[in-house]
Amino acid sequence: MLVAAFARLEKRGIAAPVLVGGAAVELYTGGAIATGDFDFVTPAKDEFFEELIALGFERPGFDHATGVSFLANSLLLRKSGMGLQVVSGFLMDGRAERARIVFVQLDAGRIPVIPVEDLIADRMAEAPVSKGEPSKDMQDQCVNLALLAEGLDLTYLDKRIGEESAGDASLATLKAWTDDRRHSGRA
Amino acid sequence: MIVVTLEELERRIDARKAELGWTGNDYVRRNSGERRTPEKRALLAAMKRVDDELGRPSPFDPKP
Repeated sequence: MLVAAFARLEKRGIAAPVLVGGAAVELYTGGAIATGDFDFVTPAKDEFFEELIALGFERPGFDHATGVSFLANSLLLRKSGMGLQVVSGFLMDGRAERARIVFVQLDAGRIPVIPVEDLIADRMAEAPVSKGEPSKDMQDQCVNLALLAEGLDLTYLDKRIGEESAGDASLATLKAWTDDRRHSGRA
Repeated sequence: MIVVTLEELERRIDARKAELGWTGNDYVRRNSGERRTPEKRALLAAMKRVDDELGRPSPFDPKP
């Protein structure tokens, strides 16, 4: 369904939205998180939603009297229970290198996915290091993403962690977390 | 452009999991939900409502 929408967008000369967030973590870690909601980044939200609504998605919270949805950035597909949200217009607010986007090839087409380095950096920014105990869920996701990734660009990763955490964390922080996991016997 | 098939991505992850001695797929902690935006909370609630209306299990149900 999503891939069909992407194809329709591309016919209009619009680049396919990029998958980010928890579903991207799921993809890069082997399906460990399965909530059925997908976050995307695209500057063409209106066109993306037009195509998805044509394919059967609906606006949750849509008020037919006013024609307004209080969930301006979300759509829902009843028959599968899938939900999606456009969380931003630009990937990591333009700080991610688009040439690193990974296109995951399915039978029906390709889904662009946030580079794993940017995903780790995003999660590390959500697990503030200097403000007490880091968020365990985010810390766990960072470590798993790092341990399961193939061919991480450590220079780019270090730069991106520093940028996203505003200097609060670095590659050394991630390595320390990974070592802690190894010593705990869980890796 | 970096292109990888889903099958190849899964094969790489499985190989890495085997190296690490991991099994199953519950090794990643789910999002705590503490940082969810109001819109995300509302979307997830709408998804749960639809699942309930249609009588199907929801990923947001507590595990049995």
